[in-house]
Amino acid sequence: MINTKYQQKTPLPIFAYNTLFSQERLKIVDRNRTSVTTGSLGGFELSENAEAMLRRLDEFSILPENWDGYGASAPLKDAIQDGKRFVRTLDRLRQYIDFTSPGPNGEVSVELKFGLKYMEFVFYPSGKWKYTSFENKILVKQGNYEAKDLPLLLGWLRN
Amino acid sequence: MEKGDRIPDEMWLWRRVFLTQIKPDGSVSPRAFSPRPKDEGFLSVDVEQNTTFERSILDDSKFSIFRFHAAIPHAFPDVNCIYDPIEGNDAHTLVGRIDPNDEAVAASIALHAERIFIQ
Repeated sequence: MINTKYQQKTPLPIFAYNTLFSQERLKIVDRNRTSVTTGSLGGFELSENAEAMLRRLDEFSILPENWDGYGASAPLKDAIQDGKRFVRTLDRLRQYIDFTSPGPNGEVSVELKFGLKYMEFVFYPSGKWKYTSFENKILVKQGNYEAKDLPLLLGWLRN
Repeated sequence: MEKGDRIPDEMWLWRRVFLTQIKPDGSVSPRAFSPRPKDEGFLSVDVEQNTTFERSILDDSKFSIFRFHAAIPHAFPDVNCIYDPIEGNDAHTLVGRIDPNDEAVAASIALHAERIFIQ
């Protein structure tokens, strides 16, 4: 649930996330979630990559029930919105997005790749966010995803 | 092979994949190998030796086929590939039980899977 307190035209809490992302301005929208502010704070324009991924995510909303032939649920609005918010955040951090996909439980995924490293972030309609990371097709780590972990996870992917 | 038998590691298993889940480079999203909660952690696949491309794909305008070795899910504790023929599909096999909190099985299968084309 988004905290509407910070959607008003009041000064936004701005802080240095860490050295890598110190130029980014982040807006707290929930206790454990963050979203990058856009537009009014700097005229940020989406990359073509992000725009394409956002279009894909929007297209998932028209998938019917059983779209995969195995009885999958149609992607749900909340999951799509979380996925889109994450794509915008990644784009603000100059992170190329490899792919987005619908899942069978109403969830959507966002996939990243760098060399032999791979990450999948999964956004479930229940609000549960998860991630897995692989290197050379071998599992490195998986767990629940919280936005505060993003710098560390992207740092691993890029190094 | 009898119902309930464990599929040997070297056997290929086929999974039908919705075209939207296939990446431009030809690889596949892990979401194609993720079971639903009502499947109780079991993923439906076909064992290669008992099926054909035409039987497994259903509709090639919507789907493609990817295959992976049974050894991939077998690398995870408590995950087995069990031969489970059903009426109308004697290739049917179940991969499980996959813990709903474990996203790594689906991702590992996807990273090792290869797309099947017919000549």
